[in-house]
Amino acid sequence: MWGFPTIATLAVLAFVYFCVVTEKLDKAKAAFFGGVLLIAAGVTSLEEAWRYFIDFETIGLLVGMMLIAGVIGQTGVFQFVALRAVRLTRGRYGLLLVALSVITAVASAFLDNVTTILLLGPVAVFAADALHHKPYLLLIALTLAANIGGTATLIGDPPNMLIGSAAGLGFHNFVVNTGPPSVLALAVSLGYLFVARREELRPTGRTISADSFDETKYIQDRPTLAVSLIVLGLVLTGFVVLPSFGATPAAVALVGAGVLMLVNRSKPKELLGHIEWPLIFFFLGLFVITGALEKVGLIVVVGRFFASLTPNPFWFCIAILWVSSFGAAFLSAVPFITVMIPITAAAIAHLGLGPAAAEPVWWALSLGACIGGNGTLIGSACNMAMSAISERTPEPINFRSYFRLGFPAMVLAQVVSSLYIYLRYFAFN
Amino acid sequence: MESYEPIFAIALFVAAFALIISEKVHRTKVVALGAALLLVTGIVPLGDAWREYIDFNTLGLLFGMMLIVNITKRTGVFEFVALRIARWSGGNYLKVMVGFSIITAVFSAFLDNVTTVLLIAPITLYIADLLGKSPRPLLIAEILASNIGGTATLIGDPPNILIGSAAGKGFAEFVTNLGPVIVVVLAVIILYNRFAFRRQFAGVSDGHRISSYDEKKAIHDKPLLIKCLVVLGLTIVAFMVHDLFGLPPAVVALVSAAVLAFITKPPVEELLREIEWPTLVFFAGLFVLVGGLKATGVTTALAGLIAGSTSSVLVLSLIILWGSAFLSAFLDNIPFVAAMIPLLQGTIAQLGLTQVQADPLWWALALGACLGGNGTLVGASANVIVGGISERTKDPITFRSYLKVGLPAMLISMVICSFYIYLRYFS
Repeated sequence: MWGFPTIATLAVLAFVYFCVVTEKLDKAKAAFFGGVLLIAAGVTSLEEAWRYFIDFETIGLLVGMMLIAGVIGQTGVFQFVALRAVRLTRGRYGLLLVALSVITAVASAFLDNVTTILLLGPVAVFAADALHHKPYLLLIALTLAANIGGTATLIGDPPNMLIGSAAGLGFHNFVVNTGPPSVLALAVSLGYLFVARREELRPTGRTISADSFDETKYIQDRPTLAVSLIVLGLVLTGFVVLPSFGATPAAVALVGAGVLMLVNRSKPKELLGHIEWPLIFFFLGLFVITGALEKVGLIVVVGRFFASLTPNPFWFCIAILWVSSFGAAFLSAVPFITVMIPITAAAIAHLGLGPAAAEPVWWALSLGACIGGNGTLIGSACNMAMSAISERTPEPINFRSYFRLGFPAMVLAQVVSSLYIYLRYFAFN
Repeated sequence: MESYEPIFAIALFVAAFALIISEKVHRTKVVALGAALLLVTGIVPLGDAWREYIDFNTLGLLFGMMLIVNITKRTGVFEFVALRIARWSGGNYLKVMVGFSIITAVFSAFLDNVTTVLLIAPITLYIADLLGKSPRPLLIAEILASNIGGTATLIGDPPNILIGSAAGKGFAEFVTNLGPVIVVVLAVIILYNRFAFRRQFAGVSDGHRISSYDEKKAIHDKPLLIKCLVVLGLTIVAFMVHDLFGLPPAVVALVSAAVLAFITKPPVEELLREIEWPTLVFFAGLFVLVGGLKATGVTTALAGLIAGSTSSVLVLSLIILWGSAFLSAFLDNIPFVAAMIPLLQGTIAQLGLTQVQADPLWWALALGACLGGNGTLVGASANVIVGGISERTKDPITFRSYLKVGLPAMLISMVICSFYIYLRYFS
């Protein structure tokens, strides 16, 4: 096993991880370069990589949903809802924090997390400024909410798309299984922020004057908004209904994107520009590297090692949950989970768990990967996006200031998730 | 297979082309929806679409070359070459067209057509701008020349590679059998362009103004230029010798693109934003639409119709020539030729032809499939790419405006080829 292919694959993986963690070199460039290098070195072929390594279900779902979400994001509906919340909470900062967090969580359950933060982050900064509060607390709350909200659905966060495709779990499976712990995790995380920063949440006596802003101006193109919301509704319905006819979530999302492209008047170039291509290429590179890891046999070795740690399915779930939490927090969720999924599959096979018995393991992985991203500033792409927004405020968020709030919130949320897994899947069996 | 599936696949294909020809909706949107419908009805499941029908070699090559060209464009080298040529032409647009047609044909005989037009088109846009002319006639001339030139050699156009390996023909045989007729076709088509665009090619732009340009100023990033030229040079060499190492062109292009992106500064967001996604998505969608025809057996039935039509080798050669020309003007010629090869082999065996007797059939297939691509804007990869690039200009190539020039050009070249086949192999 320790021939040239293995060493080349490990070297490429280490190199890509180096780029992801240090950010010295662009991670999408690095992953793509690494993947192509493995093909050029003969570890795999383009044909094998394309046909068997690249997870086209995930790529298709990502591309389709990004296009739909991009069109909806542009309609301004989320800014409208957020500003309406600012108006309705009449300057009570604590209430505003909860309201905006819930809106963010719901939005990010259907949109990708980065888009959500880019849309709602500026609204939070505006509201905090107007109330003479520091915006950083609000921004951190929104980030926690975005990652947690994404956990609740198949399409909310890329790790879930990966897990859904690998384990054959559909939209409704996710809502029913990761939805409840997401609600709990959001409550616990916000509760922690309230306790830890209670003095900062006291009213400043300021209010936002009702005519200092006009949320209705955000919605300029009602027909587009209506059409794209209808398409989203149909796609969500399709996720639940169509799998029994053999259409995978990716096919459903691509059909939705195809319909939306046809009825939308924008040029194809603009519509396709909504897709976050660097992320797609990051994934393509990672899939090739992960496929190569599997081909040379490393994945099975690590999977067996995991399985050998504990034969007890419950403790195995807990191990997966915490390993993936810390992996996501410190090693960035997307690459970590891309590698972790085949390892988990190998471990499940080694433990001899059937599809039903394996399900809790996948939920543990999903909760760990998505919520774990809350742990550090580099844990998830939307954390970085939020940090970029905070650069324009008087108190930019850096790794330390984020860590002090985000990490304990993540740990508390995962304690709750562990309890949830025990109570739901193991306590009464 | 359900019995309605072939009919649905044909109806979808015809409807998609009707919509494209109507020009009411952008062609990328049309094929994207068409492909999506095939996916959701289960006629082409996503797994089959991805693994069997979407040709990753084409997409990989296209993407890789687009990325290389996008980075190279930033150095100003394309303006440099354009200024040189503009000065050489003395402002005579006709001279530019003749020069570019020949260069394009020669390049595409040895490189992929896609690579050729991706390198030539940006230069073309600058030249037309310098001469104060619309780039459309020049771009169309290049499309025609790239498909004509690609027909001449074993490596010039993918159908030839398929035919070469199936019929056991080498590089020399292709050049000696197809080369002569291709030279004639190219000359005639250049003459034809001169008349098709007589107004645009008339007159000479202000030569004095053009001679005052200093092309050296066009280069604004020397270190980047050196990196780009080294990578581009190695890429072209690797394309020409790719048979030696067994690396497919797509891998060569992707490796070069990844290396170049990695050693240069432009951020990945910017580089990827400039990629012609509508063109790539169009290809992916078209592959799935054609995949629908393949999956339901329509392509095989069409090829069978042609192969089994007659027992006279001359008539069969001409039917193959014209039939594959019209089909590959609408279908991608690669899947068509791939479907045609086994059927033709069957017919040859059935008729008991010797290898020499069967030769004209293979050459007819190559000429028809490659030159037929000139018939419409979606007939060949190069056409689609140039069409996509022209959308940036004020005078884009539309499906219909291309058809008016391209279809007659295809018919003329088919007439020439018919005479050639008759004179060379049957008289």
